Amino acid sequence: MNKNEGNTGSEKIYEILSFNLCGRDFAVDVDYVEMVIEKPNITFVPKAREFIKGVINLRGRIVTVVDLTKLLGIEMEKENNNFKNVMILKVGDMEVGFLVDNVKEVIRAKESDIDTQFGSVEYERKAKGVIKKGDKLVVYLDVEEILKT
Amino acid sequence: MNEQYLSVFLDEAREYMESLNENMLKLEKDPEDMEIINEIFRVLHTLKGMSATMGFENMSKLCHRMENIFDDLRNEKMKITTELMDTLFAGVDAIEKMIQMIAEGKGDELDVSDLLNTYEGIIKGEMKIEEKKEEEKPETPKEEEKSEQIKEYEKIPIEIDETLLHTLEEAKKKDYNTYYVKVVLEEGTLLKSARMYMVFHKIEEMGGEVLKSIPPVEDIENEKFEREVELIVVCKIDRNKLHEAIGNISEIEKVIVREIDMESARGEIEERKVETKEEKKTVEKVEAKESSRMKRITQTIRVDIDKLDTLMNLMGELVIARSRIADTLRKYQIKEVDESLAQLSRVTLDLQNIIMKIRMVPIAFVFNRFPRMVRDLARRFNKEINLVITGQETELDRTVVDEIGEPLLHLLRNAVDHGIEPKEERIAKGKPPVGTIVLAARHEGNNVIIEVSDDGRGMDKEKILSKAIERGLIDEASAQNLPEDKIFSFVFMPGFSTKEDVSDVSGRGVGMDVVKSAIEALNGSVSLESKKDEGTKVTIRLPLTLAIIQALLVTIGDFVYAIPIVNIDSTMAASEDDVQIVENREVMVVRGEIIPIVRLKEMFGIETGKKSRNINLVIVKNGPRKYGFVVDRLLGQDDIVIKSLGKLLKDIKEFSGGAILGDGSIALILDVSNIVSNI
Repeated sequence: MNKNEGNTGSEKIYEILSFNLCGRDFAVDVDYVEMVIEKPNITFVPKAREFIKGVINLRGRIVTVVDLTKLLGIEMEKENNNFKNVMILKVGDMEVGFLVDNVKEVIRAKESDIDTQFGSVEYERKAKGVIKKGDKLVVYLDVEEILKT
Repeated sequence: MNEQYLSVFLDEAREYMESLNENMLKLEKDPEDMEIINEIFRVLHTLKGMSATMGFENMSKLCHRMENIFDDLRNEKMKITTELMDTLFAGVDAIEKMIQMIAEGKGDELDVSDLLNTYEGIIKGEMKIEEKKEEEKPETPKEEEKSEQIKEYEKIPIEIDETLLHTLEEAKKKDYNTYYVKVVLEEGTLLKSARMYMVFHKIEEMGGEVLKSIPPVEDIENEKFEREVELIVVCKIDRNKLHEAIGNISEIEKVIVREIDMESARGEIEERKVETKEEKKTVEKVEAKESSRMKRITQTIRVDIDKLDTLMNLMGELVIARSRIADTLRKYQIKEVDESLAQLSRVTLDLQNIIMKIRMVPIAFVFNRFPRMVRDLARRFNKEINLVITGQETELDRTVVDEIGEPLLHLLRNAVDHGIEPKEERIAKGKPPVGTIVLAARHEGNNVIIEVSDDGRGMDKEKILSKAIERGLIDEASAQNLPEDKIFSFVFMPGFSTKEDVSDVSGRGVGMDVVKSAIEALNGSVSLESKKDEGTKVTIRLPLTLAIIQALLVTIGDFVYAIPIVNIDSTMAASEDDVQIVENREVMVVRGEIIPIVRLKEMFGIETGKKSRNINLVIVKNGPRKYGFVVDRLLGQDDIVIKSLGKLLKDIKEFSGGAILGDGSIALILDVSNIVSNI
C-alpha cells in the first residue's frame, strides 16, 4: 500500500473511498477507482460464478460486474436490491465493476485508525480492517484479495 | 524542416523503396526488360528529387549516381551483370539504411563514399556523356526563361478585394513594395506543399509577407493544387531580388513577379462585383475536379494501430449515444426525427464497418520483403532458387500481420539453408537445377492458411525418430507405428535438431520451436509434412478470431447471443412434436439425419417461461457431427468484433468472447465446439 502514503510525521495516511452497500459502509483504496457510473444494462452471463452479475459495455470494452454482497456474504435486507451505481476499478490491467448503492466520500485514515482485528473476522482476508468514522464503521476492503476469488 | 513533411517524405520514400526492391528483383530475372529499367530509373529520379527537397544531400547524391547508371542501361551503353546487380543492391540497401536513419532522427549521414566511387568508376568506364547532362540541369537557362514570361500578363490575374487593397495601400505608404507573384512548379514535382513551404519561408526570410495566396494556404498544405500558385506579397526588397530568390529554389519552373498597380486594381474591384456570380460556379467545378484527382494520388496513409483501437472504442460510444437519443425520442414519435435517426443509424453502421475493415491489411505487407531476403540467402549459400508467392492479397488483422513476419522468416531461411540442395546435387538426383520455394496464403473458412513449401531434400523420418528415441521423447515400442504427423511434430520440440554435425545440414529443427510458440501465441497452429528428396511443407493455420467474424444473432431468454457463421449448417423452424427421445436423448430427424437437440435455455439456466410448440433451430456442425440448438428468435446475420470477456470469466468454456452490438448491448459468442463436447 505504498501508493497511498502521504507522510504526516511518521504515520502513513490512507486515502480510501467509501461507499454504501445494503446499508453498510465499505471502502476501497481510491487509487483503484477509475470512475463511478450510473448502472447501465447488465448482460447476464450464464454459467458464471454466483458473485458475477454480468458484463457491461464500458466505452467499447467489456467489463465484468461483481456483486459484492454475494462475494462478502452480506444478507440482503430487502429482496432484489437495485443498486444504483457501478464503481469501475482498475487493478493491474484488469477493469472490474462493483455494484454499489452510493459512493460517499474520500476518507483519509491514519494507520492507527484501522482496526485490523475486527474486520478480518467477518470478511476473512477480503477486508484489511475496519475504520471508525463518526458513529459508523467502514469496512476497508482488500481489492486484490477479493479479485483473487 | 517541418515535421509534417518529414513524415510524408518517409512514407513515400518507403513506398518507393518497396517498388525499387521489387523491380530490382524482376530485373535480375529479366535483365533485358527495358520497362523495368525505366521504372527503376523513374523511382530513383523521384527519390533523388524528394531527398534533395528535404535537404538530404547525401541520399540525393547516391540516388543520383544510381540513376545515372540506369540511364546508361536504358540507353544501352551498359549491360547488366551479376556484379553490377550486386553493387546496385548494395546501393538500394544503403538508401534504405539512410531512410531508416532519417526516421530515427539521425539524418542521412551514412558513409557511402565507397559506393559512390564504385558507381563513378562504372559510369566513367562506359561513357562521358553524363557530365554534360550534369551541367545542363541546374542554373543557366532558368533565369532567362523565367524572366521572359514576365510581360506575358498585362493585368494581375488575381482577385484583389477591398480589404486587401486597403492593406496594400497602407503598406505602400510605409515604403513597402507590393507584388503579384506567380510560381509554377516543374512538372512531376513531388512534395509540392514542401516546395511551396520553402517559397513562403524564403519570402518571410527576406522580411516579406504573403497577404493572399491562391489556392489558400490550407489547400497548399494538403497538396490540393496543381502546379501553379499565385501570391500577393509585400516586402521591402526590389522585384529582381525577389524574383531571383524564389527562382533559386529548385524544382521551380517559372516565377513571375509583377508590381501591383493600385489604380487599376481599384478599377477591377468595381468590374468584378458584377462578374462574381458566374466565376464562382466555374471555380467550384474546378475544385471538384481537383479533389477527384487527389483521391487517385493518395492511396495509402499509415496510421498508428493504437489510434485505430481508440477509434473503434469511440465508435462504440457513438453507437450507444445514438441509441440513447433514439430511445428518448421514441416517446415523442416525431416523424422528421425518425427519418434523420434512421439516416444516422445507417451512417454509424457504415462507419463501424469501415473501421473494422481498416484494421485488415493484406499479407503482402509481410510477404513483400521476402523475395529480396531469399535472393540474398540463395546467393550466400550458392543455390539457385525461385520463390513463388501466391495469395498476398489475403487479408488479416493488423496485429496478426505484425507478428507473423518473424516465424515466416525462420521457415524461409530453413528452406533455403537446409531444404533446397545445391545445383549439382539436384542435377545428380534428376531434379530441376533451380529449386522452388512456394509461399502461399489463402482464406479457409474462419482461418487463414499460410504454407511454406520447398522441393528440396526433405526430412528423414527415420532420423527424426531415432533422435526422438535417443532423447527419451518416445520409447522404441510405441515408435513403431507412430503416424507420420506425430513424427514430424518432434521437430517443433525445443532444441530438437537432427543435425549430426556442423557440416551435415540434413536436419531442420533450427528455431522451429520458436516458430511454433510464436504461432501458438496468435492462437494458431503449425504442422509439417515432408518426403525424403521431394521436399517439405510447413502449414500455418491462423484463426481470424482477433478480428471480425460473421455471426448469426439469436435471442435466448432476454439476451442476444452470437453464433459464428462458420459453425452453422442451417436454420429451421420446427415443432416440439418433431422432437423424439432416443436413448434418453432428445433428437430430431432433419433431412434423414438424426441430430441431437441442445436446449440452450436449460443449459444456461435461464427460466423457460411459457412454452411454445414452435421452436427455432440453429443446426450447427462440429467436425462431421451436427447438433440442433434451440433458440428463441433468429435476429439475423452481422459482422462482429470478438472481445475478451476478461479474467474473471475465463473459466467459462461455453463462450469464446463477447461482441458489442450496434445498439451498444453485448452479445456473448457461443463456443460451439466446447458446448457440444459434453453432449
